[in-house]
Amino acid sequence: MKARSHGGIGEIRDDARKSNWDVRTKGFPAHSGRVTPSETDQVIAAVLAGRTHEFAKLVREYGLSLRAFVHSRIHHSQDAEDVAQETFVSAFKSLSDFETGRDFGAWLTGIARHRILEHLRARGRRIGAMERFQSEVTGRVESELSACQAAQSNERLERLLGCIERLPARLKLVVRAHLSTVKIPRLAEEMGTTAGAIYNLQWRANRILRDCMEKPL
Amino acid sequence: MNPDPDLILLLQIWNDPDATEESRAQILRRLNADAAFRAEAAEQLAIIAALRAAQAPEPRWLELHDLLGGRGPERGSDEDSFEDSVMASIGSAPIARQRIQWMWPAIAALLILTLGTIWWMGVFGENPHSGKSLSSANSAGGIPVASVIELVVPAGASAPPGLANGRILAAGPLELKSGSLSIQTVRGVTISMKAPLRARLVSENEIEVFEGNLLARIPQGCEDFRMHGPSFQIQDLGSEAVAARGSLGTNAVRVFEGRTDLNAAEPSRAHSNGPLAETSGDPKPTPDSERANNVSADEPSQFSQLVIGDYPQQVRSLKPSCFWRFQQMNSGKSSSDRPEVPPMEVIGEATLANQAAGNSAGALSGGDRVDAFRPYFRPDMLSNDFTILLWAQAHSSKDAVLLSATRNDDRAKDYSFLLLATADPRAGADGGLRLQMGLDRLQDPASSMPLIGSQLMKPGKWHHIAAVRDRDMLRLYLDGHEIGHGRAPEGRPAFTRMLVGRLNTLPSKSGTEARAFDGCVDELAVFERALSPAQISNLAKGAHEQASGSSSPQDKGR
Repeated sequence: MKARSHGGIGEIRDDARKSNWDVRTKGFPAHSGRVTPSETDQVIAAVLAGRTHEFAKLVREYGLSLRAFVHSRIHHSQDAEDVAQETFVSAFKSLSDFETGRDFGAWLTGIARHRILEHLRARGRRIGAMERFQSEVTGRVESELSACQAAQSNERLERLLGCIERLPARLKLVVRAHLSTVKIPRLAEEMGTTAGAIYNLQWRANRILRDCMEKPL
Repeated sequence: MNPDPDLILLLQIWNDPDATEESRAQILRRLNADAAFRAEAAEQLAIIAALRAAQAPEPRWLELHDLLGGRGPERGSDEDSFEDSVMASIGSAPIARQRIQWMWPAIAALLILTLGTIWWMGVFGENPHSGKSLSSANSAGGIPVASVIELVVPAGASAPPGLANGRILAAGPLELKSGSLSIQTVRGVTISMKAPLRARLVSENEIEVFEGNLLARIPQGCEDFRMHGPSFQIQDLGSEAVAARGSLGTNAVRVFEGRTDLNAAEPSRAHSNGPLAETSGDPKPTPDSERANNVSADEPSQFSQLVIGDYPQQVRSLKPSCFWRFQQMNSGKSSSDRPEVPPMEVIGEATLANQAAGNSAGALSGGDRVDAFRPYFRPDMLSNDFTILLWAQAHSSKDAVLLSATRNDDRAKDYSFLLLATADPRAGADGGLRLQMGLDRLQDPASSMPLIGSQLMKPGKWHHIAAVRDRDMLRLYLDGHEIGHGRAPEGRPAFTRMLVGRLNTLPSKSGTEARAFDGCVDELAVFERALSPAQISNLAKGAHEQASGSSSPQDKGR
């Protein structure tokens, strides 16, 4: 449930003051059955041997980084989630094609790229100016984006949540606002600042988060 | 270090549909020309995407789930996302689900031990509870109905009298001025509450909320559990719901999954100020919530609100036996205001009507154009017992298909389900449409399908329609009353698509457009079970009664 449902900015502000403010930690529970990259081949062998449910371990292990990859190229959240699922479905169906010993994450990313292209083609001309702009920007920074995301291991992405916790309250507020439907001018008014300053804070927050993700907490 | 102004501009216009073309062009030019800028932009976008992925509700991918043999991503705590989002939405820290899971055996053992103690103490004439609070005093003399799983009291505050971890509770008031409290009823229902809270534990099967936030997790086998307040009542919960009652008398009820009936108890009797404007972004499926949505922000009101969580992740993830309610027509906002995929695809020139009133309905022109709404649909949604509910208002008296479902496969037109409105020339000067339903294995479903029902719908009036398959029977209801029934075909069809407002055939087929519905539809819901006549009557009744009044929500909202 997003903040818009009840308190809007006031709720976000309240949340930001709380020490236990969270950014959806639900995706990252302690997971006892975690698959290390070296165990991936064993899991794949088990799946191919008929224990299909073992594939779920791979979904858990690679899901977040794959979703981040897709979200960076498809800017509509639900479309991105659908494409991420399709990627895993494709991977499952063609698992026997995967060459043992290779990077499973990279293989998944390759499938995702195809899926993303298919999705964008299907969307075709139905996209609006904003989506077109997002696609054009993403296209222009594709190689840089890929380089950034190659460094975004699952471990680092999981660290992101802890990093958000450590942000100063104002920055947390801004990060959360950007992830909700709160309008920036309204947030700026609430925070007694300008919309431009809010985007400056977002930029700062993103840089802090990037640096924080790179080092263990 | 100061940011590059163009980078700030990029962030500013990234999600802004109203950004100027010039500003977009400026960014694209810079990206073309400046490698360092590209790198910085990529960094920002990568972080934004990571945040979005992390922030998005944990997906429950049904297709993948099915593919893996129904086990899905290993986690064992799918409900976490519900719980966390619930608790986040009501301003509390997430409950540590895993901790609670670990606690179940301990709780069970504790409960058995404590009940045994009570029995033992009772046998030997000694009261195990000496607390002075009403809760514990009641438990001393009453039947145990729950036990305290976890009481969290802030440092420096004292525990409420009579409440302590492991304490057995009888029926009586619960009051919490600070901290939080989780209890489990003897039937296994877990209720988490956050201060400030005033509630009354009525029985092991019922709790009344006067003020505060409350989450209930109802396991299977605990049907009929009820949460209620002065203006709402939730009954027969499947698994999880939240009730929040503000100090000013406002109510919000969030049902995240499960079989749920919500009744507004005398919804218009009480009045208090509430944050009505802030609720307008959510679907408002109940008549009561329509009312809330239809009054102005400064008009005193009291309302209940039944909300399915953010679509589509949470709705898609509902388990069989839950119901699907399609948000598009209930939302007063256009899809651009909601980042999620519209749950009801708009086909052709179908539109939303009366958005200004804050309670839009789907509007269909009934012309030759291919207008329709296509709800998200899963093949097995109608393959067993089901209930389809919708409100419809015809604008003319011409033949129309209100709703159709078929296999979307020309090679296997085995079953079709139709809700028809058929013109009746005998209906008088005002005209009228006979509501009929059919479900059969036919090549040409519209022409020779055995049809059930023939009650008149009046053009211009909102009607509540319910179509039910209950094992081998089909039943059709109009405004809460059964108007026909018949035997269902033996097969269990696996439909692949549902359309609202026209036949479920390809646009290229001539003649089909003539059956397009001219009017408005609203609040389509599909239950994957058969609702009882009483339940359907209740669902139709609230708004129907309202509709008969001069200031009905229907009139105001549509």
